[in-house]
Amino acid sequence: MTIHYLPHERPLNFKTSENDPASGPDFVRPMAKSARSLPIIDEKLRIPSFENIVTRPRLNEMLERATDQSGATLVCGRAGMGKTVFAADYAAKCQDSIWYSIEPADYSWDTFSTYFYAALGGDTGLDDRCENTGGDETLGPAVIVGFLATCMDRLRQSANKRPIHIVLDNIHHLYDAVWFPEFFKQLILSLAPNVRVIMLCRSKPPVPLWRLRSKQMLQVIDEGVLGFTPSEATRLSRLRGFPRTIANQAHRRSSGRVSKLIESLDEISTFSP
Amino acid sequence: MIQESNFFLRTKLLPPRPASEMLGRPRLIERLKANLGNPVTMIAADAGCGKTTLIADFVRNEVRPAIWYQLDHTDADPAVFLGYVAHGIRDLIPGFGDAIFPYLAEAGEDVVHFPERAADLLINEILRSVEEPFILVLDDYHHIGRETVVHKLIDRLIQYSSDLLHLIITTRDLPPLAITRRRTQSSALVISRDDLLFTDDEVRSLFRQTLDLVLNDSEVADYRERTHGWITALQLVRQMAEQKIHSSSGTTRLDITDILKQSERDIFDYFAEEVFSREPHDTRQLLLRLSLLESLELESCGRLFPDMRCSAALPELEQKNVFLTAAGDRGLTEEYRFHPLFRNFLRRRLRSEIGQAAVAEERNRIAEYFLENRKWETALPYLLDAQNFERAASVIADTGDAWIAAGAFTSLDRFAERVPAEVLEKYPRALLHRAEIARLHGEIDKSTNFLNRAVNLMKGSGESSGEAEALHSLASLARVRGRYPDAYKLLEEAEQLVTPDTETYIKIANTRGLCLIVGGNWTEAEHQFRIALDAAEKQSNERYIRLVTHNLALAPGFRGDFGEALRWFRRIFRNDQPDKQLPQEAIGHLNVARLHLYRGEFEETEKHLERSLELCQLYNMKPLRAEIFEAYGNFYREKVDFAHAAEYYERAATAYEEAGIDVSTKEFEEERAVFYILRGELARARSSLDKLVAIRRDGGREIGINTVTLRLFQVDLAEGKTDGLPEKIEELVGIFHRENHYYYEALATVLLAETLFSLGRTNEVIEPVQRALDLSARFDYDYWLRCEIRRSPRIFSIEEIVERLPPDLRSEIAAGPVVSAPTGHATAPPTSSSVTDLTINVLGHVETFRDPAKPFAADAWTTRRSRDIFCYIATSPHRRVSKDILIDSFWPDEDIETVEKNFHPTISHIRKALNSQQAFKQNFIIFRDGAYQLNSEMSYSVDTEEFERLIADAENAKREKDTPRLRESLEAAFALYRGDFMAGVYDDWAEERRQFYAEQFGRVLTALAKLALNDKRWAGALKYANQVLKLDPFREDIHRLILKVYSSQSKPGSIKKHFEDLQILLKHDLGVEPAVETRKLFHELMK
Repeated sequence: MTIHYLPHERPLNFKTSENDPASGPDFVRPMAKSARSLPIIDEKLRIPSFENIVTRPRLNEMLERATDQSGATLVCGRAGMGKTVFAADYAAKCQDSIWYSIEPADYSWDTFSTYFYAALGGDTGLDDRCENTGGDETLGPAVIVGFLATCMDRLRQSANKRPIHIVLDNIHHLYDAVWFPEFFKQLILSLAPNVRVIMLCRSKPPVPLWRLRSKQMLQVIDEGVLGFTPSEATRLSRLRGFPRTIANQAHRRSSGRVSKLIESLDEISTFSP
Repeated sequence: MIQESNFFLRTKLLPPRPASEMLGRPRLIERLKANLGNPVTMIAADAGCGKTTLIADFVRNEVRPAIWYQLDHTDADPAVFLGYVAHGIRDLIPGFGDAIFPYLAEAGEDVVHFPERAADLLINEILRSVEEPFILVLDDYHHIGRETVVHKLIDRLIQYSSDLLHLIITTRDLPPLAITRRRTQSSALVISRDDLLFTDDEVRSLFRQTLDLVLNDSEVADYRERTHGWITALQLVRQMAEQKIHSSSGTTRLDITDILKQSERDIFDYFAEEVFSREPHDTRQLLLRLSLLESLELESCGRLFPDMRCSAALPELEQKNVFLTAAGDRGLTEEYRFHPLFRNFLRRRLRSEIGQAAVAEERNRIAEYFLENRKWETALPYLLDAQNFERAASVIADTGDAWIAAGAFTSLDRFAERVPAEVLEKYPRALLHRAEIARLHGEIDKSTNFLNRAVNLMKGSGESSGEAEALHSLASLARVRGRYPDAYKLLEEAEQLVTPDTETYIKIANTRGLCLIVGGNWTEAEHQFRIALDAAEKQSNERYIRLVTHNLALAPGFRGDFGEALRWFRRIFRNDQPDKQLPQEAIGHLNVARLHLYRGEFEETEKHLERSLELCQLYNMKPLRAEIFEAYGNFYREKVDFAHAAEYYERAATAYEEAGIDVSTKEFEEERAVFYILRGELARARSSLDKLVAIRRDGGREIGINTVTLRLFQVDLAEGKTDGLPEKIEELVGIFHRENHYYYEALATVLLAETLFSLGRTNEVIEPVQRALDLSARFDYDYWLRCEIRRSPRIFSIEEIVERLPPDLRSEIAAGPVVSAPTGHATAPPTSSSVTDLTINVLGHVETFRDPAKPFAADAWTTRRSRDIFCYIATSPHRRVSKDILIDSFWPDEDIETVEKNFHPTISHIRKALNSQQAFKQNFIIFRDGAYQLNSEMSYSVDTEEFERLIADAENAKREKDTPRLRESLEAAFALYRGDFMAGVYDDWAEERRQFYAEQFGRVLTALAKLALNDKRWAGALKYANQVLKLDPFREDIHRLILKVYSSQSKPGSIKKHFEDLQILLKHDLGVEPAVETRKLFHELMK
């Protein structure tokens, strides 16, 4: 994959690691995290808002049931299945919701844990037992357990036992992090009774799920359920000003995948008389 | 942008008004006029030789419109220079500047680093918008000095702006332009001091016309000896004589010999004093005060000297011709200019009258006036001349940012250099600006020294924001030098000194991200870019929002997260704000196109490729052009349009070579190898990939080696070389996984599955395919997966895999292969594909196209004449026709005014037509040395040339008795001739060429008929023979050939009928009998 560089000093003169033999990991020592505080980008912690969306009561009910039954729910589907829109709509309707849009940049434990804690309303200063003094490779379960305990204590106190929904969007960005399997497991095990976690992802996490599912600690809503039904497609079509006939046609073409559905609606309407 | 900045003075574009007493110089005017066909005229002579007067007189009376640009020292900055030129053109062509102004506003240092790009942008816009030729006068060009890239801009303008632009440069010395070295090629006219000097006849005329004085031969000789024809001296003499005449009774003849007794300098002093002393006291005072001003803008003069009634006095002085010329129309924008020698005299006089200190005080007063009006670049010379270095340094420190942003850093640097170092150091921000200028000029050591000094000084004075800025700049330099630990340390220090609401904070995070990217620490880099973006958004810092979003797309792009990369890349475009367009958007569009291609979004891919190509053309980004062609090759490869893919790979190879780029550092060979694999040319793919691995091993580029190795493994599998292959691929999968190259990991896992499957190890296939499915879901590789399923349906049909596939992808298993997979050892012969930029077919109805799939718009040829002129040029020897011949051929009976009015618009229509509906804008018609020709940088297919080549080849084959080649060439020529040359065009030149090609075609037909007869292909012989007869029914040799064919076919009836018909035809039309030879043959055959 060729990507051009656009540094602010001298366009196109920058050498990437691929073509600059003098550079490499040995030359690069980013400063220790502890040396500076990590600025929080608020946008990542806000529930995203969307206009002109189709409410999907059947999914809302399903999710409500799932979160009531088990503390954690995994909503899993490829890009363009409408996961974020649906979850944002759901979260906006809940009384206490916490949102965290995970980005690839949050791959390291330091960054992730700082954001996670900030999402719960905490500042960036965690107590000593949560401090990770080494890199991700040396991160032990104790740090993760300690961190989650602190988080749950905080939630227990702040919400006054009211249900709190935490939505972690795009959790698949963390799958290849060494600490992820432990975090995933410990998160589900440590959930306070009033806390529900909804994790949105494109594929299932590379961890054993069935044990958690069999103990009703984790529910999974997958792509087959997420897809738009014909009636939802019709409502979407109407919202965009297209007739039902077009909706049916577009639904067949898209297999219910909402991004393709919208594309098909636009396409068909362009060629319709 | 210059039009909004302090650097724009409208008066610099005003031409001088005519002097009241002026002598025409027909001998020089004629030379100037005759040279208009060439790109440039240079008037190089020292002060007072009449350069400006001559050119002003010339352009005033010339039909062609002219732009007058009075240069000064600030015009040494290319951005300032181009801004004025573009403004000047806009005064002629309303709306001009749509491309150049946004570029100048955004380009910053680009203009210095890539002056050719800026020049090309201007040239492209001229070619697109201007239809009538015009003159650009660069007056006092010597002011910009020798060390400026403006000379490169001028070189480029001269070389490529065709005949639409004629440059006239007046200068005191010969500038370092290429044209000054090419005088022997007569592409430039240089009028020197010797040419400008008055001849004896002109001296006589001057005195006769202006003073009614007839000089005798000895007086003329005296003048020649004393003044050497120097116009200033003559003018002074003339003025003095005029005054004497008016002051005398008019009866005594003027003794002008007296006034020529001093040397040139003395003459000047004497006359200047005379002129000066004759003015009233107030006027003298005004002249003395005004002499300090570099330019006499009426409004500024009025405000600076409110008691001296400048608005009335200056026009009066100009009328009296007191060495003062006016520019522009009368009004507040009016400007006057002293003759430089007269101004020097006045300054000397002022110094002696009021003293050095008072002059300095006056200069300071003038400087403060300009500073109040935010005219820093005008104010600084006054401060420096007054030796007020403290104030100058503070101005530089306070306003340097704005100068640099306006692209005027060359002039800033010149001023800063005049300030003593110890004074400048009292204003450390001034050092920061000097460092930035040094960095922009690529002087890294000099820049580092300035910055280190600034850091120390600012630390001492507690100026923390400036210190942070300096530290960041040092970090940037360390990054450029690859000293990353130093860069991190400096950034950390800088970070301690700033708050998130400053631009330096954004820069720090961005630079840190750039360092991290190099180290492969992508996620941390992304995080830093995210911080930078967040801060930029909060500060509404548009420039950094765009730069950082672009950088944010890099890591996902490298990683193979194309959706994420697209999300950021899309944000750099400002489609709704064309004035915010950057040349780098061409790169952005290319990247976005590539990402869309990975996702199989062809429509979007094509759209962005077209846009990228358009911008690349506009800004002449040659290296990028090669990459765009490569991307087009990949695009057509993915669409299984192999012919187009091959063509574009060929174009890319040529473009890389032209741009001097080593292709092994690019992905080109790798992409082309994939193309070979798809076409089944495995040996070719292997050879290319092997070479690439070897080169990359030498260069130590690991990731590049791994991706090529992956392609080689694909070839191995296709060739059935599977020994140990799974293990090798597995190792590669591990590498890609560890390095987070997800796309390549996905590719490798599927290859591993295929290899295992081919070895019958079906159980082992599931795990890698599962990983591929997982990666595909995470990074949205739907399109790729769909292609893989179609290519290898048997693998994806395995039960455990099918059930993991999303429903819409399951249906792909039954859909079958998209393209044939490379199997076995099949190798197709390599096909060479030649690239043709433009096809011109004129044998028959005219056909022109660049890409058959993208024809020109139906109304592309606005006029029939423009199309015919184009065909005329294309089918002429060397594809070249002189302008005079074109005019004679196409406007034979028109008067010169009509021709002037129509000629250039017609040429402009040709250029536009050939770019109609084409993303890639090219200039096919260029003007060189008085002739129009097809641009030889492009490749053409002209059917007349091919037709003539085939005939020549047939002649050679005949001589060499190579009958198969003879037949092949003749048949190809026959196929090429679709009909009469330019059917439907009846101009004389076309008739002439039509007749020539018809005769040639007759020769081809005759030869083919004879060949067919020899080969006993009777039907063929008759077909060709009858066609010859259609062209010339009296060709008895062909009639005899037909008789022989009938005889060979044993058709006596046909022989008899044909002969009798011939007899009737000849009798009726020519009144003759068939030739003896024909009659004899007929009788023999009838026996």
